[in-house]
Amino acid sequence: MLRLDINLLFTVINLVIWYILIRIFLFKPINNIISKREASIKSRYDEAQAIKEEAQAEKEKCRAFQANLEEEKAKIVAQANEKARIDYDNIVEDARKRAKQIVDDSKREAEFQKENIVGPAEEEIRALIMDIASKSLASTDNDSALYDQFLEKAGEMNNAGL
Amino acid sequence: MGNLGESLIEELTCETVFTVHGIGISESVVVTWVIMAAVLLASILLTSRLKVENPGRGQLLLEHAVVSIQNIGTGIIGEEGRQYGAYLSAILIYIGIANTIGILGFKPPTKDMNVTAALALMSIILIEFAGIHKKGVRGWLKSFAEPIAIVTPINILEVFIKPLSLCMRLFGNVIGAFVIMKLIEHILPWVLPVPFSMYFDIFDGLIQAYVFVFLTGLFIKEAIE
Repeated sequence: MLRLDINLLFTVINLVIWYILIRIFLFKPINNIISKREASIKSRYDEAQAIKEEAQAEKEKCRAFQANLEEEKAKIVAQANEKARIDYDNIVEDARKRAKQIVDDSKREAEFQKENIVGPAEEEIRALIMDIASKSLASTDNDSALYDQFLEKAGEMNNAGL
Repeated sequence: MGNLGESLIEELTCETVFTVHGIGISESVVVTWVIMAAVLLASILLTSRLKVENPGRGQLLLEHAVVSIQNIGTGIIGEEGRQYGAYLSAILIYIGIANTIGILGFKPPTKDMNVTAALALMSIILIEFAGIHKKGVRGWLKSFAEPIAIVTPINILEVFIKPLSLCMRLFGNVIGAFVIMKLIEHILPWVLPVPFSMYFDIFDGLIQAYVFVFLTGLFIKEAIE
């Protein structure tokens, strides 16, 4: 009980060994695990942060891209509008020209037809008049018979062509 | 009563378990070995399957307990003496187990003055080492004359008084508790000792372990200030 002997030295040795054992087999593994976990949590957190930043950047890029797209779209639409207007004008102009040409052609045709028809008719009328005049010069008495003859002839001509 | 006296003397005497080349190995040393072996085995078993991811409840409990014990050590001594925290924590575990091992039927090693003296000796060596390490030999020697030169003899005496008080406090508390428990068991061997055992064997044992570590830590802190 109240004695100090060589066992004091043994106890000191025991305590030193105890300290080393506790450090190596109890504190070290536990502290290692905890620091590993902390490192893992930290790395995961950093990773999440990086991903977040990346996503933010991507979002910005997307927004810029979208804005660009809108601009491009507006440009294209404007261009298309312009082109459509020009095309429209061209088409209208073309149509107008063609219509004018058609009208002119028709007019020319009509003129031609008229000349074709009216010319012979005039000649015919002229001949008729000449005939009548010569006949009336030949006979003076039979006026009514002559008149009937003329009407008949004119009616025949009328039915035939005009 | 004579019977009680005899049995008490027998219980209090730290027997020599065996002798090697004429050197007697006392019971306290053997019990310390038992404690060392058991804690070593438990440590290896408990720490063999630690997981970084998804630790189980047991692992979390173990981690919490170990970290708390380490925090007690470093908490007493502060950031400056961090390197001594592990020693304090280790000693805390040892004295805690040694004081309460009586429950399992072993004689508490701290009931042997050799053990408490060894603990105190190591404490004073650590305290003075910390002082020398921090201040250098000259600074350490100078610190004896602080705050004024006249207290130098007292400061020198303290080098012996500190470990002596540490040693005797622990020893006296453990042996006192042990004697009281024996007396209570003599009066009534069942039921009555239970609450007293709670106090003397467990509470007092752990408190004394803490006090020992606390004072050692305080002295180290003082030495490195």
